[in-house]
Amino acid sequence: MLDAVLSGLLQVLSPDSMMLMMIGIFIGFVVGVLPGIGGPVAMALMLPFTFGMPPIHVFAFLLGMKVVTSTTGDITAVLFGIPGEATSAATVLDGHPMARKGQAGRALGAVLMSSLVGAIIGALALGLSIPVIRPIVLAFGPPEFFMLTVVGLIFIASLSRGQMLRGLIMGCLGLLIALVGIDPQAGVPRYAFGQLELWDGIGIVPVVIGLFGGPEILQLMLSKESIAGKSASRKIVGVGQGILDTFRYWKTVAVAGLIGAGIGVIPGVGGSVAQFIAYGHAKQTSKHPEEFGKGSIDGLLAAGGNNNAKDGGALIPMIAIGLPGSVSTAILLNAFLISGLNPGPEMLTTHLDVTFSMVWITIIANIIVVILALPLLKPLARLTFTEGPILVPFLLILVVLGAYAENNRMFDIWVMATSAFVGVVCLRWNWPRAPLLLGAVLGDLCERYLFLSSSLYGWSWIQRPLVIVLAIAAVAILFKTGWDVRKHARDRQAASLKEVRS
Amino acid sequence: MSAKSVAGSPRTVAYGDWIITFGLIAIMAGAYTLSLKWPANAAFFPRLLSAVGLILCLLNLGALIWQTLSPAPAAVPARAGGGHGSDDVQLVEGDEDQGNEDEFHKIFTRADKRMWGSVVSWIVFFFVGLYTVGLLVTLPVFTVLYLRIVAKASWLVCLLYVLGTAGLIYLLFDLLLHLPLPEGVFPILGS
Repeated sequence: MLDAVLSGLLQVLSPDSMMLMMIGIFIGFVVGVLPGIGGPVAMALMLPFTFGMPPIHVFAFLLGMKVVTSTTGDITAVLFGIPGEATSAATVLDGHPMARKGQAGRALGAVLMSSLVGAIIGALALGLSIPVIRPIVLAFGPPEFFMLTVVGLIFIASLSRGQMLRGLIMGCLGLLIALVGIDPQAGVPRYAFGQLELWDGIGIVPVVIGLFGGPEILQLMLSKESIAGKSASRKIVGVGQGILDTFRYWKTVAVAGLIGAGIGVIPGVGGSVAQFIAYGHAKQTSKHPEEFGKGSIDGLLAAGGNNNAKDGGALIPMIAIGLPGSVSTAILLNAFLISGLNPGPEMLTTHLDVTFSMVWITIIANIIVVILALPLLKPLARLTFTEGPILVPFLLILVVLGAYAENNRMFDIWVMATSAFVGVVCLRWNWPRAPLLLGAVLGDLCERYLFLSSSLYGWSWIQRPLVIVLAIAAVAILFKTGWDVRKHARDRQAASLKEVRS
Repeated sequence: MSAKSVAGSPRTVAYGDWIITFGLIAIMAGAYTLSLKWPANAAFFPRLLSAVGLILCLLNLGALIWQTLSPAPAAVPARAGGGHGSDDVQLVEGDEDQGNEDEFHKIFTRADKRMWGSVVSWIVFFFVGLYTVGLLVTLPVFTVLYLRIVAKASWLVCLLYVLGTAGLIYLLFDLLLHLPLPEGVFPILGS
């Protein structure tokens, strides 16, 4: 096995592989900064260029590109509140408030370094899991996957402290949005209202860009102030502090990375859920949960540490059993097949060096992107001090192109605009947006797993041990949140009474 | 805009909540009704979701009614220097955990009708332009007008801005990725 580890490293470090990785990193960096044109789109567009390449060159190019887009997607999330990808949505929650306080440098430093640490955790998880992963992945069937999506949704709703009911309602609405389109079982168009565009369903990218980016642009237009605000110091400092924060809060980053790698393994659920679970876990274990959403460094590190770790996790089922966990891994699976490789036992025996080369590519590409990005952080952070109206045309074009790029249809721009309206309404009247997004991501999977569970096992799937464990976890989350809300309300009432008396 | 004209009073907030709750009840009920026409296996999950959503919305409606009927809590005297009880926007229950969303909430509640009218007009102008003549025409026209009128930028800044943005889009979308741009229904510049 050690031979395979070393052979994988040496093949990745060969000049050809390194050159292709650098090209992939460059494309990934540029493309990742633009919302909507995330890793999957860039990889799909670049896939034809990999025909005829040896497998390790293919992965150096495509995987290098993919891991970089995850990192750079966080940059727009921090600076402009516009997540580069759906998996960067949690980064907005604390990264952007930090930028608004004039701490964009610290936020970018923290998110870059935590992404790197997370990526290493994910890659190690991939490397270590190779000998044992098959039985573990196969132990999870549709009922367990279904329960995991339910737990994820309840967990997200529980984050909207004091608004859990609203969180659950928004989660249901998100799930319903995901059901728009042709039903995969009966072939019936659902909630399509005779519109042909709706038969394909509602894309998640326009929804996430609209929900999070739309309100940001609108507030810039209304306030006419810079993102960082007038009160913030114009000195760009704190990049080093952000990097150090990653190590100061190493437990948060490590746990977020492990959550990312662990949940990234689950096909389809992956990054969108993992980021919020890691964020929620950090909030529940933090000494200062009240700072979450206001620019908490723990929250940002949890989101950042999780983001790249999930990529390592997502590779595990693809390599071990040929089951892609996300669109990106599905494209990588294509690259596997084009290169003449078959996922499964071969990847754990004959082609073990190729498998380990993927571990190394994930680590090396992330180190390179951090080194490349560090000198750019200060100029990027300066953008947050630019007057709001100057940024507005650029950001409008950015969100429009982001929504349009995935499917090249005008309809997605209207979806983005409608989502922006919903995002503004949510913010104006304090309705949580994250459960809506997560519901929209999970709806399709949730239904598919429920259908498969009942088709395969009838109702007896409810009695499976892992399902019961997950159901208990869901109930425990509900109770804990209820308890916390009650305690919080009591404390607040006591504080108000004290204030009135004094 | 006077801070006292802020539309952030609890009454207004509750008014918005009522509308959203009734809107969601209508959506959930509509989703349930539509699902009745579909085959059982296609309808099961939407029906389950819309029923659960409807129950949750009704619970929220009950909570709103409870809040309206229950006596208002003792008012906390306003402190000098702003804060929740001051001239600033009054934040609603649950706000304190929203963080960055607080700021957005404040901005959205503070903006008066004129400001909203101006912003919505610009957005409508942009999207109508995008829909009719496409991005290649809308980009320079909107950018120059917006920067000149709202940002009070010089002609030189406008020119550099348009060239920079158009150049970046050309490089990335046309040269690198070969992706089409939104053309609009009456494209002036060809594809």
